[in-house]
Amino acid sequence: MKILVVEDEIEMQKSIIRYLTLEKNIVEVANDFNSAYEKIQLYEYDCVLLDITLPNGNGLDLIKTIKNSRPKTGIIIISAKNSFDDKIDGLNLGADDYLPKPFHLPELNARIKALIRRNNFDGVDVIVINEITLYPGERKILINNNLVNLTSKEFDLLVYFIANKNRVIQKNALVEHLWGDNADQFDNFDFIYNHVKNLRKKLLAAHCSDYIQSIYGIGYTFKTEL
Amino acid sequence: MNLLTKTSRYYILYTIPVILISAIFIYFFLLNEIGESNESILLTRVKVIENYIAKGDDTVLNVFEINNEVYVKEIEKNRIIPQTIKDTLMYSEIEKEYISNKIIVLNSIVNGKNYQVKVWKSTIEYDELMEVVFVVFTLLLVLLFLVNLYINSKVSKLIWEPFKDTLVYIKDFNVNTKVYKKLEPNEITEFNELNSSLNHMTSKIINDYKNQKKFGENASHEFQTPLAIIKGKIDLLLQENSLNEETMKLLVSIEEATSRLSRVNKSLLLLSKIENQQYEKTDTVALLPLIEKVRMVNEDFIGHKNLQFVCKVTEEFNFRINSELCFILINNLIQNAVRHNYKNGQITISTKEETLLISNTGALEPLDESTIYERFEKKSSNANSVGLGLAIVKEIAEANSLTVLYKYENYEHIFSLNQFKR
Repeated sequence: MKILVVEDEIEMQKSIIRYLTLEKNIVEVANDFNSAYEKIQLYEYDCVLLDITLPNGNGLDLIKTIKNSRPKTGIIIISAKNSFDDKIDGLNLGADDYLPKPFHLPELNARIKALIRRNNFDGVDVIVINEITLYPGERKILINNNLVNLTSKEFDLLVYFIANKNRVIQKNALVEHLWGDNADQFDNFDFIYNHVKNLRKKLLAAHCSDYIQSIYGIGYTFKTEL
Repeated sequence: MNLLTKTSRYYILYTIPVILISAIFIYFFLLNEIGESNESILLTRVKVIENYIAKGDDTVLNVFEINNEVYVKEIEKNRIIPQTIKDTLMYSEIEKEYISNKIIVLNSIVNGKNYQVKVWKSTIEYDELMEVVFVVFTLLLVLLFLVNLYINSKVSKLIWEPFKDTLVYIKDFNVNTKVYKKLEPNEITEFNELNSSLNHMTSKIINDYKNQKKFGENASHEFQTPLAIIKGKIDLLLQENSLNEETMKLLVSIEEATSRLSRVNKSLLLLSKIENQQYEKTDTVALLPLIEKVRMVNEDFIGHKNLQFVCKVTEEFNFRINSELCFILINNLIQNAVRHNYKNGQITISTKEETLLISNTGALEPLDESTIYERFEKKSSNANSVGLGLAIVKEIAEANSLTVLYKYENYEHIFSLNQFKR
């Protein structure tokens, strides 16, 4: 997949590029408004990660340009402003998602994948990995072609795991994925532990391989390769 | 004691000695003047009597004698009585008492005959004069006092009017005021000076306050990017195969601290945004679906404590509020009700007229209402709790004309939200 990162913070760029290239994506960067504008005109990307506050321009202005010239390109706004108005404006202008900084890289990765999936398969939103087939739109899961019942949170966890398969995912990233900002107040790790435990149980009961490995005190890995 | 009473008190106080000194002066002055005028009257009478004696006409003399005001007697030719004027007491047949008289005694030669002439005239008594002076000056003092009172009650009030306006202005002054009104100039120089100084001060305060608020918001924004970088680097480091378990645990600890920092920062940012009136857009928000949404978000926590969650809110119940803030408001209150609850406890959300009540079981003693809304005031030892939840509740309530009240009743902690009549 071809991804363009429009971000003026060099270290932020580097982190994003590094994480995304772990998955054989082609990642390009633009440091400011003008170079981003140029790159959008020249190349077609599957996804653009767009910071709003850019040197010599506002990221929101790029959304229209992208949507006009490359309607299939997905746009995720990554902003430190976490402003509700910016979010609404961005989404109205045609952005597909809004991710406030600071975020976990697996979260970004999961959002990019979900976006590209929705855009590329003409509405057929499906994830297939070995014996598991997921339909995120319908929130349906088949294992060895048998329907398995998962709770909403278990389903979300599984999609997240698969998007970041073979990566180490820390507990906190899962907490933020499931509860977002509302997670603030509680000792959520117990809940994560329970949800993952139940998910794993259900998968095993459906004769699925044991992909979910816990790393004690740290988090989990969804291991599909040795 | 107000300024007017104080000044008039001093005024009266300093007037009394002035009046006293003037009274004494006036007394002696009058005494002297009256004496002099009496002397000249007596001298004139002597002349008149001499004239009548010379004419041989004694009718006038008789009138004087009847009045008992003259005594004329022929004496030896060569006897000389030097002219003397003195005060004397004489018995008055009319008054039936001794009264003060001025008398002149001298000898006078008329037509070759020598006469002893005594002429006297009753004069004002010292104590009478004293009395007059005393009465006049007492009256003067009373009059002054009354005038003073009048000035106080009428004129001064008029003069102090602009000062009172200024006072009202200061009392009503609020740094958060949306429309800043300056004090009007008036015709009294001192008050004008006061007003212009106040105008200068208030505009400076408002500016400083705005800058400070802006600074808080900007600082919070600036924190987000470095925090994002730290988070990203930790996520990357965790993917390294060379890490041992110890190192990974250290990384996770760093990440947890970073997350906490970021949560505090987000909460502070939210607070300063509310203070900076960046959530001005309000809608009519129905509470029932919103409470249901909040319940869904928190269902794990509610289920974990096996809490009984009862919502008795009607479909029509609504607040006029910013919808984003309303969610945070209700979410914070419900999370609060969960966190401070015990296992198998209860959360009840109900309405009473225009008031929303969120009550929960919990600690068997009331919370201290004076501190619960303070920032970073933590009740729980939970490291994940930032201690800003209720501060945010308070701030949201104030920004949306809601009153939030706490009470402890029937072993339940109750938070009530009531919107002022619109």
